[in-house]
Amino acid sequence: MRRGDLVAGAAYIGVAATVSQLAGPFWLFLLTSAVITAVVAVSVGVIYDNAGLLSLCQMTFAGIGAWTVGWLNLETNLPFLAMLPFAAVVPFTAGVLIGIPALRLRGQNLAVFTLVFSAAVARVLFADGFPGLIEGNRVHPPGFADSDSGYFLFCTVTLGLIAVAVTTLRRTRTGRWWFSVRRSERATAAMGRSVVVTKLSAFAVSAAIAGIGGALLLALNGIVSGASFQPIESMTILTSALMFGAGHFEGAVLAGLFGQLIPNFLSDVGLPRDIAPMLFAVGGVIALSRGEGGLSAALRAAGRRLSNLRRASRVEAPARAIQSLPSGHGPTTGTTTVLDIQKVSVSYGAVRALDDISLEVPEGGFFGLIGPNGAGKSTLVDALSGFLPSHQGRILLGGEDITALPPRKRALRGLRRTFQQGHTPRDLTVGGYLKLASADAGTSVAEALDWFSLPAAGTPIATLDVGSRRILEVCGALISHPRVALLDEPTAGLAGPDREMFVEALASVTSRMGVAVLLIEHDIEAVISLCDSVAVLDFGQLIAAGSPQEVLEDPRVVAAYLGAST
Amino acid sequence: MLTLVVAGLAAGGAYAIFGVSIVVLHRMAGVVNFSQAVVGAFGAYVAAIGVERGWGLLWAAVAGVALSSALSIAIGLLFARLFSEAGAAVRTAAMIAVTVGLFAAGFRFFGDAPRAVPVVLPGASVSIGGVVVTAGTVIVLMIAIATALGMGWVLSSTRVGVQVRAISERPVVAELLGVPLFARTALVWGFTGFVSATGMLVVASNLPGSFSSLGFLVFPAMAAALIGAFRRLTLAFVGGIGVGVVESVSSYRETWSEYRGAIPFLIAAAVLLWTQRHEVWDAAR
Repeated sequence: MRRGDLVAGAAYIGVAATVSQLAGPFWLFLLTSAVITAVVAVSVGVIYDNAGLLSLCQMTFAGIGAWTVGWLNLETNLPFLAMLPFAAVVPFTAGVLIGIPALRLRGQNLAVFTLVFSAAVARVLFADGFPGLIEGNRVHPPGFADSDSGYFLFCTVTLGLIAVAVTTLRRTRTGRWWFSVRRSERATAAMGRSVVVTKLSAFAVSAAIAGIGGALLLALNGIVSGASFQPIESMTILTSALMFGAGHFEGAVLAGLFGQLIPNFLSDVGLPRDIAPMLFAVGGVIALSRGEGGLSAALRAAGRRLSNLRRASRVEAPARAIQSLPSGHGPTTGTTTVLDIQKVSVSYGAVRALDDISLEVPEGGFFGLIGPNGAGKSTLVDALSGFLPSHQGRILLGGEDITALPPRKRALRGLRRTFQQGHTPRDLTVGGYLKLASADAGTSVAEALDWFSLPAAGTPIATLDVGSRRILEVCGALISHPRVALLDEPTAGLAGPDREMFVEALASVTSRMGVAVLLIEHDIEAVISLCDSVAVLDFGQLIAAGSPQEVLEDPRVVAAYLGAST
Repeated sequence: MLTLVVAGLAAGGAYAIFGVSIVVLHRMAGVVNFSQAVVGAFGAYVAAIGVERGWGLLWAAVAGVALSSALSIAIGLLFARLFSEAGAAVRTAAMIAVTVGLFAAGFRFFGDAPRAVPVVLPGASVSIGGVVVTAGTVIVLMIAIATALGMGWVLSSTRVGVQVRAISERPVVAELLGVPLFARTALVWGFTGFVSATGMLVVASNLPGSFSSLGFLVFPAMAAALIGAFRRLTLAFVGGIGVGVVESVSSYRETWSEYRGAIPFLIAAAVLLWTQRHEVWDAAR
């Protein structure tokens, strides 16, 4: 743990301890409620800010946690601390179950589905009253915390522990994949990771956190009704989490504090309490219109600007100097075929995007794929990497038929790709991304950084320019030592000397590794210098194939590029 | 049993009206409108207050429908101004925030005690095969069918339909092509607000009508829209009717009716498990 984290933790406990001694019972109740709301806000942070999923059932999970503890309290004699883990485990399980039909949903569909789910639970499970409500069977906090100040401290410490756990989790592979899936599901699958498992883990973890929040709320009040766990409450907490930016801990705390204090403040100044959600709505809309991350992200950005101003000179980005490489031999192409493309056709309605394409990509070395815009190059890469819903023909990787395999399994068998748009997740560091991409095999991160003289492992991807992000994505595709790398316009966004150095480094790395590269490129010079053979697509047809010289002199290729009629 | 099916048609028709409106707005404006029912509830409540104050049924209804349409237009212009270039997730999140605000505003203005929404329709009924069908049910179904078919036609076959779809997908390009952004946005949102308020006025008189329970009609409506995958108007219509009928039939046995509230969810989950059985990738290449 870093020293700054320890200091922050000590300060947090110190403030909580001071407040617990100074505040009266009314304020302690209010602040404890705020801390509990912050716990649920942290769960929104995990699901929305980290994994990019819109969930409208976080208060439902809180309710399931509370329901579980209420039931255990009624049926068993367990102390609160022994019941608390169940408040996490049961919602966690519910999260997995509800996740299964929602697995492939994203964005609005997931939001709607979770909303309909929360309405169902509210009407079926919560409407009949919580266990212990009618009997008046109160849930008590643990004995050592059974006072206003004691329970406030207990909740504060629990919130702190959850925050530490979430922060730690974000730095593990599981947490990094959340950021990756948020940026792009395709890129995640292309790195060999199951999108479904990634989303499910985020959903279940956030459900567990919300469940603990529900149990804490139950012990604060002794008994609860379903009113606190209605769908509209889930929508409200999402709104305030959006406004304050619950992806950061301070944002979640602010969401909790303001969620409880604003209604109280309003009634103090003679305004109705219930206009508070209107204020959150306005705040949430404003926060969203200014980009994601809410108030906490804005505060952090302001903090960074301040510290940058203080620093006399900013650290210059290291000039991209690629170490000189043993020159004189280009990558050598083997004789065996590693990627065998047999009669692949793709149709969109009446349009034939790819027409009967057969290619044999040999082991090692570069195989160029060129053609004018709209020729079908990226469609072919999508077909090869498994992203098309359907196509005709067969694809063999090292002799194995992979036509029916999903993208993830193709990646695990050694077929990696990059994307034209660039899909590196901006919330990760360079090293974090490469660790995900390497799947703990292949080259070490430090060595891979050296290949293309990428910035240090700790550099946030958000600070890289477009060209560097693209190089990083190529590096990620190569770090796991794939058999075939499909590179979709890797030099786009790179200019002049940078481009030349990158091309040279790419040749050196892939040749040492023995990986076969299917290179889609508009930079014809790069294609000529790297590739032993080139195929040309035009309007979905393979119009030429052979050595770069032969192909470029082919009249049909010239016509395709210059637009002359044939 | 048949009586229950017919009884379910009234509620199902209401779900279908809101569900179809949600799909229409999604296709025309690219927004999932969580406030579809609550906007209608504003209109129904204003009409109810109008009747209490003796405005006369017609004027009260006109005032209510006008208010809902204006409210809907205001939301539409807000979105056109702030979120026209934002991604779907951001727009959805913003719509959730707006909906939370509208519910809070509704509580503030109207309280949450049930209020009798005036009966706009004559109490006439017809008997078909021994089962009584009220005029209300017939009219609700007709509004739902007319919206689904009419808007399906507008979207696919008219110039305005193409224009609004262009706005929802590429607002800047549409504007550069000379599509009147402001007028079309107002038209689309105003229309769905109008349909919601009309539908709400027709159905609210037979529902336990607290403001929030009217607004919560959006949950089964969302299930219907989800069944239509936010694209297919006819499927959304069928989904809404289906949810209403299954809900009603579930009260046939007491053990079933306990789970009545979960029916929209169960149907939506079943449909999703089927429609999403193949892997579908996110849009960006």
